[in-house]
Amino acid sequence: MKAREDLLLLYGKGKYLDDVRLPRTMYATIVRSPYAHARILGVDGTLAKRQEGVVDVIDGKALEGSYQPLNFGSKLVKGSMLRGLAVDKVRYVGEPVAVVLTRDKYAGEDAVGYVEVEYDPLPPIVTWEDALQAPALVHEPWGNNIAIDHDYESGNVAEAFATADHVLEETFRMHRHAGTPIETRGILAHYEWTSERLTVWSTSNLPHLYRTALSETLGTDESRIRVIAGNIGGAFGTKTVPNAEDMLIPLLAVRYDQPIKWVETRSENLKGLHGKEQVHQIRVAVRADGTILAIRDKIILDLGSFANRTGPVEGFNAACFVPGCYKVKNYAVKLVGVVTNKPPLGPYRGFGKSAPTFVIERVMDRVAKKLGLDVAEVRFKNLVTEFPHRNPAGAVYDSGSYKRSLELALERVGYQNFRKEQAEKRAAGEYLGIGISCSLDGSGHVVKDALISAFDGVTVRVSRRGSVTVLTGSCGLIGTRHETSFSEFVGKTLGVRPETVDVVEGDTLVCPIGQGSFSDRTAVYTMSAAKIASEKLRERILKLASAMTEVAAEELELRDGIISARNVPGLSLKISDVAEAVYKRTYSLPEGLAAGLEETHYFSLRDVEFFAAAGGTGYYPCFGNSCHVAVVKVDPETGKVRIVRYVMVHDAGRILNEKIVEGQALGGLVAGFGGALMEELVYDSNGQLESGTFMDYLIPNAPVVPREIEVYHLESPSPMTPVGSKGAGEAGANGSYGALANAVEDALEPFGVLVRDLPLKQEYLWRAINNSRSTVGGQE
Amino acid sequence: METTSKIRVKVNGEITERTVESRLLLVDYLREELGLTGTHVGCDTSNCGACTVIMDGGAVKSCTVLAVQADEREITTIEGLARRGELHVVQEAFWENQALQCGFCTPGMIMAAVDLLGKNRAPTDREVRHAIAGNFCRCTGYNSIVESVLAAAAAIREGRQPVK
Repeated sequence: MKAREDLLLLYGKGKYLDDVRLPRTMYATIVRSPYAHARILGVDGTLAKRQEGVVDVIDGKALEGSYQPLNFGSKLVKGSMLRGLAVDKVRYVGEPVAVVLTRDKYAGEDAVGYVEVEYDPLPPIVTWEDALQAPALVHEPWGNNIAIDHDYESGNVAEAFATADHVLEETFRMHRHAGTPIETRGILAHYEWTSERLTVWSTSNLPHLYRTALSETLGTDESRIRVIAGNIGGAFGTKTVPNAEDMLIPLLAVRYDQPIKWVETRSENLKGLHGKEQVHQIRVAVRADGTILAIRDKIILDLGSFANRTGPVEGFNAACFVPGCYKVKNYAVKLVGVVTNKPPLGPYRGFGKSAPTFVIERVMDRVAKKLGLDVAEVRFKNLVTEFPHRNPAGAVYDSGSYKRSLELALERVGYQNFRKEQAEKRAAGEYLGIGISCSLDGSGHVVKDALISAFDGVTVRVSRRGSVTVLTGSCGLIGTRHETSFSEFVGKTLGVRPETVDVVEGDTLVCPIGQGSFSDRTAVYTMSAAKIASEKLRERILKLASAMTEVAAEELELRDGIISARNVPGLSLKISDVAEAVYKRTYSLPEGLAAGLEETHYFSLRDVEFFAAAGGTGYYPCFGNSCHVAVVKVDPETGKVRIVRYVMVHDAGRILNEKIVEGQALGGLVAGFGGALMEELVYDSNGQLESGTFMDYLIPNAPVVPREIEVYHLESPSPMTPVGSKGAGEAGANGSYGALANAVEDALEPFGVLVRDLPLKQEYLWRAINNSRSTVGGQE
Repeated sequence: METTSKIRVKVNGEITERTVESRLLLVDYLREELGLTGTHVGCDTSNCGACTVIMDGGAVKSCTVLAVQADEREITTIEGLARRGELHVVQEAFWENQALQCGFCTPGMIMAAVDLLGKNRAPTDREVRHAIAGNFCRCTGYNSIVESVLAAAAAIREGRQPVK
């Protein structure tokens, strides 16, 4: 399959943020805090301003009053101000404190070291334990370091524990790591004062939301702000908005009346938006036959320095998805969100899904071990089989193939023969392990009463000479192949050849107001909007053709851009003939047929039932599912994990393009491999980041990825949308951590190593193996 | 006070002459001076390989080469691989096998592959992975990239010219 959008990129002609050039652009180089926690006593730019090429130096104080800082507090989440530049305090290493403006990029890096900032260091809050102990407060007015303290219970939890045959209790930890797309973030902002119009090119994949946030922060009408997404070099959740720089750079553009550009360095990026850090203290009540009777979980979420728009969702999602693909009815969860002196937590592929899946899948293996049952058997015993299924958190699983996908995965990996092979290899000193993970893949996240809502918009327009343009509110410029997907889908639905369909996304000036693309939502909302808009337009075209040919509309067919009639051979009208008639002779259109040849449809879900365990703040309409089985080999001499085979059965609802879905699955898997086995943002006791470059923050490269990855597809269409597709982007990342964790512990069973913490880095495993009966973990 | 030098670099067959700061990185010479923005910057420690170009017949990371080091040398960037309407065999293989999603790592990845195939007409899976070990991708998971390079190698062995 050749994707259209690829040609541009193969020739190196993609227009990524740093490729956009405007004359007289000034570069913004940001002065960032070297302390995790400190008061800012003063900022002096005098020396810096004298450096060659420096136009100006600005600090937070100078900007105060010229914009509105943003606060994302709510009933359930304590808020604090997000500023473009810090004013009184810094709360993490890397927080923006001042900015140097130069005409030359290199001069900015030269000058930044000359900005003199006086700090009064405060005790750093680095871990969640520090946060709760509170030798210092990240936000003084709060009185503590707790942003979220939320309880939820459903069913008869106490009774279930009282009558259980066994109670298992354990603490699991997902570490802090980050998305690190190969293109970092960036913004180029230009303000035209004569027309009071602000144009912002940005790497954000949520252009309309960014426009709204800018409107709020700058106090400008949205209609005077244009946000443009060009090609985006990957996002994975890290390019959602707003963050400090997203406010700062446009503000500077308005202030200085010249284009201002900021391109994040990789070192800045690794101190930018982080993901997933949380601890689960989980108790499970179990019957002797393997049935899970109840779960009680305490989730401690490390939000970093403040609760931004999205960080809390990692925890609220986790609270909803700990029950996983299983039938458990009795569930109690406590979500504690703490703030620490580290960068804010944000979305990262597998958002609020990788972690709870890892936890529940570890639990299933524990239960199997305790009861002497097979790990697959325990899962079959508890899997949800009937849909729709309401889980105890209030999430409704629309459709799924949990049982079938597990069966297929086990069959494809050769599970029947594995234990025999494992025993033989162990006898020969080779340690193989197998791990299963049944993953829930929610897509199309909706936040209550917020801009991340349950809709998207599409316009389909036919021009005067018959060419078709599709404008969408989504943003597939991150690499999710929307040009191919939409041209194929609209082509098919409308009745024209895909090559004649042009797709426009990512520009707030011309695209319908939309949600951008994240949380696998395009398949859910935008495709549905495209379907209805295309169907309506098709109907209109046939009505017009009927008027032109005097053949009933029901008798007409539109295919490949040609209108023909079933019962009138020889009748052939091109779509361009219809367009010509409509645009040239609007005065002679029949009664009831409006001029113009386009349809806009905003598709929305109506019956949105926000999840109770999330305090009614969040909702997912569709749940895909995937089953992962990993076979690993662990070398006890080095602690190195090699993935020998990996099978993933992926159900993303109705498949529109299998190759695209597969690409997403594989990408997600390898992101999960990296997260589970290699990547870690390591902080020392002063809150300094020790893994601040790609030298130390290790992401997967080609040699560590096994060739032997197999992805199989099932389809359980969603009844929630007209198209029936569920998103496909996160499944690989959702389930892989659990499968790998289970496989590694299985492999190391002879050494008595218990896997509770991630990542399973070589050195951690080696230490655990060599202190037999120890647990894996970096923070010992 | 900076030092500058006059350099003469042949880029994609065209002689370019500029006076540059001695510390100017080759990647910035290509992107800023010459406007060839197909070569990308993805990190600051020469790990990611998005900046890979070919200098005098060998792949280099242009973020770790000074423009002055390219004086009197020949550089090929992604823009110089093929003319409009024609695709280099590696570009074609990437296209057929969906070896890209966001496309940001792609130019560097392709140049690394071109370098490999110039030296090894029949690489194994392992050799391909090793050759692109210095090129990070966060989108594809690499296997479709490896398949593409193997497919390109096979096509070359069957007589397909690198550029038609």
